[in-house]
Order: sequence, then C-alpha cells, then structure tokens
Amino acid sequence: MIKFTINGRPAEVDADPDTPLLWVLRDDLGLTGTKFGCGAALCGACTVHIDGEPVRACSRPVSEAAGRRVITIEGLSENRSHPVQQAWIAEQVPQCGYCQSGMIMAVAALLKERPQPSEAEIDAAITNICRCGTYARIRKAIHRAAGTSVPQKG
Amino acid sequence: MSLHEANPVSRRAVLGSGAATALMVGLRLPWSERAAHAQSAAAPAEIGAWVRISADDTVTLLLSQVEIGQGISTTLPAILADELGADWARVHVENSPVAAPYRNPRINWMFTGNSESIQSFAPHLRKAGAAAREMLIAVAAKRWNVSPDTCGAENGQIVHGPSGRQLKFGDVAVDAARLPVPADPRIKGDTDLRLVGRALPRRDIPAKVDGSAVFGIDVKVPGMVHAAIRHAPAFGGTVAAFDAPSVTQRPGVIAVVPLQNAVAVVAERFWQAKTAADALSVTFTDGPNTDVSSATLAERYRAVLNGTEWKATTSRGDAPAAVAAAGAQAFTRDYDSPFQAHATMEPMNCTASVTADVCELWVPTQGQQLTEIVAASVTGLKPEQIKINWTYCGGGFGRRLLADFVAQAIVISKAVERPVKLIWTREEDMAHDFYRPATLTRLSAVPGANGAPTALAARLVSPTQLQAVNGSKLPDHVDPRVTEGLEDTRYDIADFRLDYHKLDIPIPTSVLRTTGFGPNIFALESFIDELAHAAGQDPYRFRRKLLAKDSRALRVLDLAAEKSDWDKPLPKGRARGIAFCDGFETIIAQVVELSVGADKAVRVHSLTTVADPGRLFDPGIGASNLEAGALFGLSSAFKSKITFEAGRTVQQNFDGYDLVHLWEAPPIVTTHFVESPGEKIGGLGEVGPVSIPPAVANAIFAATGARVRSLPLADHGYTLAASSAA
Repeated sequence: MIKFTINGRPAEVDADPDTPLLWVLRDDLGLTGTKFGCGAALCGACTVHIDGEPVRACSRPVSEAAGRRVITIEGLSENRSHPVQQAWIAEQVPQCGYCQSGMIMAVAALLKERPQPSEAEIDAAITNICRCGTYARIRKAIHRAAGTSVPQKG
Repeated sequence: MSLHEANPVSRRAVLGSGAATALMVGLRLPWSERAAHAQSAAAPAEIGAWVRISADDTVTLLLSQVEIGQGISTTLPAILADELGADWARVHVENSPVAAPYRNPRINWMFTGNSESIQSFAPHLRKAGAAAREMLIAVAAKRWNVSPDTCGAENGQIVHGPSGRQLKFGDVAVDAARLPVPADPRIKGDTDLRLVGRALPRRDIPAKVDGSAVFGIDVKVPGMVHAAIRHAPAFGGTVAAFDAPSVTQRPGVIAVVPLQNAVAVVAERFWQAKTAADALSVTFTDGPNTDVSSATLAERYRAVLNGTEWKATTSRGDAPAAVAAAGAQAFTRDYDSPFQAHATMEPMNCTASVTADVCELWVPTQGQQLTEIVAASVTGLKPEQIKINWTYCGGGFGRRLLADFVAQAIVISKAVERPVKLIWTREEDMAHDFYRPATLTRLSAVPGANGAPTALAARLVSPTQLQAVNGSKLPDHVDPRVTEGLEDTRYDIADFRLDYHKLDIPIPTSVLRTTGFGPNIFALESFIDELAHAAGQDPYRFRRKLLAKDSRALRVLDLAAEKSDWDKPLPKGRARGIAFCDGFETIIAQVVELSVGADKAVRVHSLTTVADPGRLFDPGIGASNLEAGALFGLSSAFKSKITFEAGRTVQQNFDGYDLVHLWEAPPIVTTHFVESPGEKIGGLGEVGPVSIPPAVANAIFAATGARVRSLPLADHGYTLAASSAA
C-alpha cells in the first residue's frame, strides 16, 4: 500500500510502486482531469503538483508520491476560484481543452514561485504543448492572473 | 474485481472528502445526466427534432456536431436558442442521437468536419428554432384566444404584446408537441437576434478548467476493463505469432486478443495492459512494403511529375500550350509539402460494451455515422441495436472522422465479454495515423506585360485525402479534397489548367485540418510571391492586380495590409510576408512579420489575420479559431513532417514530431473580420493555418533573399527562436 495526500485528503492505493502516478490518479482514484498525452514527459498534459512542485505524472512512479502532498486540477480550488482558472475563463483560453489541466497546473506552480514572472521566465517554465494553438490566449491569461501587462511589442 | 472494490480505502478517502464535489462533477457524464432527467420526471415534450421542454420549464437543445475545440457546442445551440426565444442562461445542451434528423443536410451524412458545421446547420437550425417557436406560440395564442401574430417568444416565455400576458414555455410545451411542425416558419430578422453576432462565453470552458470535462479517454462504465494495443510496425504487416502465456500471469492481465494487424492486451488497469503489451512475446510480419521509405516515395513522386499520366480537373483556355509557346519566358517552379500526423493531444481511444444484442460505444469521434456503420459491420447488429455516446474530443483535425480504433474496441469487448476501454499510446497513435499526404506540385506561368500571369499550368501529385472518409470509391485521379485551393483560385488568370495524378501508396492517408488547401496554398502563394519579385513588384500590390475585379477579396487583402502596417518601413533585419486564400468558403489574408538570425533562428514578431466568412456568428469564438489556427500553421511551416523507413513511420512521439511551444509563439497575434451579408456562410475552424506557411516562406525571402520551396522549414535549417529573446 502506498499512502499519500491527494487534494488535501489521505489516499491509500494498492498498485505496483513503478506505476506512473498518472495512471494511479486516473484509474485508481478516478481523477481523470489529469490527462495522458505522451507518456514521456514531453507534452505536460499530465502536470500535477507534488509538494507544490509541478511534475509530469506520466513519468513519475507513484512510489515517489509516498508520504507527500499531491494536488491535481480537481484540487486546485473549490469552484474554479483559483486566479489561474479565473483568468483562463476570462480570456476564454481552452479550445479542445485536453492540454489545459496541465497548462493550468504548470502556470499555477509558476505563479506561486514567481508571482509576477518575466516573459523569459514564462517561456522557460511553461513548456507544455497545445496542439490547437491557444498560446496567444495562454500568455494573456498568465498576465491576467499575475496582474501584469501583456507585452505590446513584437 | 472492479478497481473500486480493489481499493475500498482510497475510494472512501476520495469520495468522502471535500474533493467529492469536484470528483462527482468529473464523473457526471452527459448521458447519465440524460438518464437522470428521464427518471426524475415525465419525458420532456419534443417540439420538433431539436427542442425538448420539460414541465418544469427546462429547455434542452440538441447538438448534432461534436465539440472538438472549435466552439460548436456554444454557437449552434445559440443559433437555435435565438430563433426559439429561449433563455440562454437556462438552456441545457445535449448531444443528439446518431439518427437521420441530425445529419448534415448538405450531404445527408452525420459527421463533424470540413468546417461545415455552421455552414450547413445555421440555416437548418434557424428554421427548426422558428418552427418550435411558432408551435409554442400557437398553443398560447389559442389559450388566450388571440391571433398568433400578436404574440412573441422571449427569454423562455410566450408574450402577448397588446395585453402583456405571459406563459412559460413549460406551460405550453406538451400541447405544442402535438402540433405538426410548420414547414415554412417565419425566420427572425437580424435585428431581432440577441445571441447571434455576439461573443458568447463558451459553454464548455468551465468544465475544461477544473478537470470535469469528460473526454473519451475519461469515460467510466461499470465493470469496465482496459486494453492496450501493439500494431504491426510496418504498413501492411500482420501478426504472425504471439505467446499469450508470456504475459497472462502478470498482475491484472485478463486476456490477449489478436487482431489482424495488431494484438491487444486486456487488464484491470491501463498500466497493467500497457506494460503487458510491451512485454508480450509477439512476431509481426512486415508485409510487402519494406521498400517504402521517404526516399523511395520521393523518387516515385518525381517520376510521376515528369510523366504523362494526368487528369485535368479544371481547364480554361490552353495554359500548357501558352506555357510551351512562351519558351524561356515561362516561369516554372516545383513545391513540396510533407506527410503530416494529426497528433491530437488525446490519443485514439474508444470504450465499447458489446453483448449479443447491444453494442454501446463511448467515443471521441468526428465520424458519427461512419462509427455506426463500422459498428454494425463488425457486430452484425442493426443500427437500432447500436448506441453511440460521443464525448468531447481532445483534438480531432480530421483523424477522428475514421473508426479504425472503434472497430478494434468492439472486437476486444466481444472477445472478453466485458466493457473495454482501448487506449492507444502516443507511439501507436503517431505511427499508425492516416497521414495528410505529401504533395509535389509544378506550377508554370506565362507572365503578362504587367508581370501578372496570363496563363498558369499546374501539375499536382498527391495520394488521396478523401477516400478513407468517403463512402464510395472515388474515380481514378479524382479527389476534390486534394485539388481544392488550386483549381478554384480566385486569381484572375485567363488560361488555367490543373492536371492531377492520384498516387497510390501503401501508407494510409486522409484529411487533416486545412485539407488540400494547406499544401496547395503553400505552392500557389509561394509561386505568386516569386512572380511578384521576378517582376520587381510589391507582393501585396501584385496580388491586388490578380484580384482587381474581386471587390470582396480586395477588401480582405487591403485590410490585411492596413492592419499589418504593410507600407511602414521596418528596422533592418525584419521583413513581412503575405499570403491569401479562399478556403472553406472564407476569404483570408495573413501577414507574418519576422526577423532571421545569422544561425537561421527565426523570430516571429506578429501574425495578422483578416477573414471574411460571409457572416460572423460569434466574433469571440471565430477569432479564437483563427488565432490558434495561425499558430497551428506555424508548426506546419517550421516543424511538422512524418518520414518513413522500411515501410514504417520513423517518428513515434513529440520528440520526433515537434510542435510549436509557448516560447516560440509570437507575442502579437491579431484577427480582424470583414462580413459580406448575402454571401455564402464560411467556416473558420480549418482556414486559420492555411496561409501561414507561405506567408512565413515569403517573409523569409523578403528578409534574406533565400526562397524555400519545400516544407518544413526545419529541413532547411530554420528554427523558431524564443519570442521573448532580445
């Protein structure tokens, strides 16, 4: 049995310790907001927080979560009240939406670390892939959540 | 043992917690919502095929088109609600059944694609909404003993104008449902519309920011088990032998199910199935195509281009003769576009529950009717025994028009006699796509006195795009999806001819967002740019000459020049490129501003898009499609290329098939609309990426003097620089 905290509550799972955290979240805990995109930590659709750090759950064994605090998109806030979720709604960011759980989790972690990140810090931290191409609105929404202004010059 | 029975502690821990609300939302599926409605009250009254109204005044609008990210689950219900006079804040939207009334009326076929949803359904739904409104009004007017002409419908109420009396929709719905559906209802005037033309908040977004949106991969069905799959790596390969006992003792494994060109492993959980599939001892045959590679394919394309087997799809005047007569004055260039993968973020998946007399599917599909046909064919069941629940799609781009993965899930469910969710890994998804085919195009023009071509002869070599999604076999060298964009150019060129050769290859090919417009507009718009420069003319003004009699096109082109500051001098090292297209009934012009570093690192400063879709139903959702589409086009310009070796796909994941990231996205992406009332309604889902590759290539030429005639730009050493770079 592997024990950890999921979205503020204790969880105990009976899974092979090598199972990626992603599949424990999805298949054992029913938390399907965290998505499977690539299985190789390339796209970021599976981004969750372990002890506040953004990690790609497809490539982290569940054993790594033992005794630690895991937050998924379902636990980011009550009623979509997190500033990043609010900014995502205000800027109408998602299209297909499949990558957006991971995007939001990655941005929430960035803003906790750097409440007003520079463009270069945003570029370095947010490496998730959006196939639809919603990046222009993602950038606006990050600035909205951070209370900073979007660059006006190309 | 189900997964929850296996983990009673964790289940309690999660379900009994403060997270329960979010979790329950996550588990609430559209069809269970529907079932709950049906049980809690009398069945709602059906006011025609599209509107259902319950006694408690709940208005439910049916949606026939799949939400793949394009925003259709907001715009189509809004069109219907507007005409009906429903209260938008309170309407429910529910997926329609797969049934005749919900087919695309243009082709009597149920699917979601080709940018057709609004084009085909907007007039149809306005009529349906108006008919339902007249039925509700007829009942109220009769009760009040007044003329229906003195009544209206607003915010979910029937209102009698002179007296101000009101009745809720729910009060008249049961009686209204008994009336015949009027054949020719009065459609509201545009000034009476409250929703159409406004930027509405998308209905699907709240669920897409808290993890509760249910994509196909998220579906849960009682008793469900999971399947992973391994395909024969080569196209045309088969399963020669496999050793099921090599994995059946692994934890959770239930069965190994052979398919013709693949083998599936079924287990209690997906990770158990996936790791067992990896561990399975299996031998695949490579089939007859091991000599197929990108190099041998390129030789075939080239040989065909230089050959004589062609079908003229469009011809006016005698362009080839004019080109031949021009001799050295003729201007000829060849252009290549590569194979591309759809690479939807959500890999292919399908959940199937098949018994002797029912086949129920939960599937992220764009091809609702094809899915039904495939299910009927695989199971031998009748359409009424097949139930298709379609879900949100984590991207579609045409890949989900097909049902190859649906057939697999059905076979696996039948074999294990349980509901099964089949999920492809990213590697299977990328290596077993139906790719956008590569094209090779030769364009030959005769420049006239002012530089503009008087004759254009085009030769196009491409495998099919349409066949895989077309019901019947296409004739030789005919494929309207492949030839569009070239044969129907708006440019005024006196003599024009397109010769097409449909190349048969053993690689599966199909449509991908932009369809034939993608490769064809890259070729045509690069060529037009080359002609402009050869004539020493400004590329924007050169296009104006070719569109001189086309006021609608000129309006788009001129606005693109204005909004991109086309005539404003740029700092040294910066340049602009322009491209134009009429695709999916929408006229579009795009301008890219970029600079090229010494190491060919390209910094894209801005993308400007101007589009005329005839009529704009939602400026917010429309703009979002074009903005994001432009960035999709940037991937296509710089990166997207699938290659083959030994009859198999080389690229397996996003490391080999890279896409644009946030850091590469330009800081300024703007969209401007022009409307042309009375013109055909255009689509906005697919056209956004079309003109970006040629606009980029044209800008690179303007910046460096180097002309790129084959995509992607990565093949020529160009990379995208970080947009925040100094």
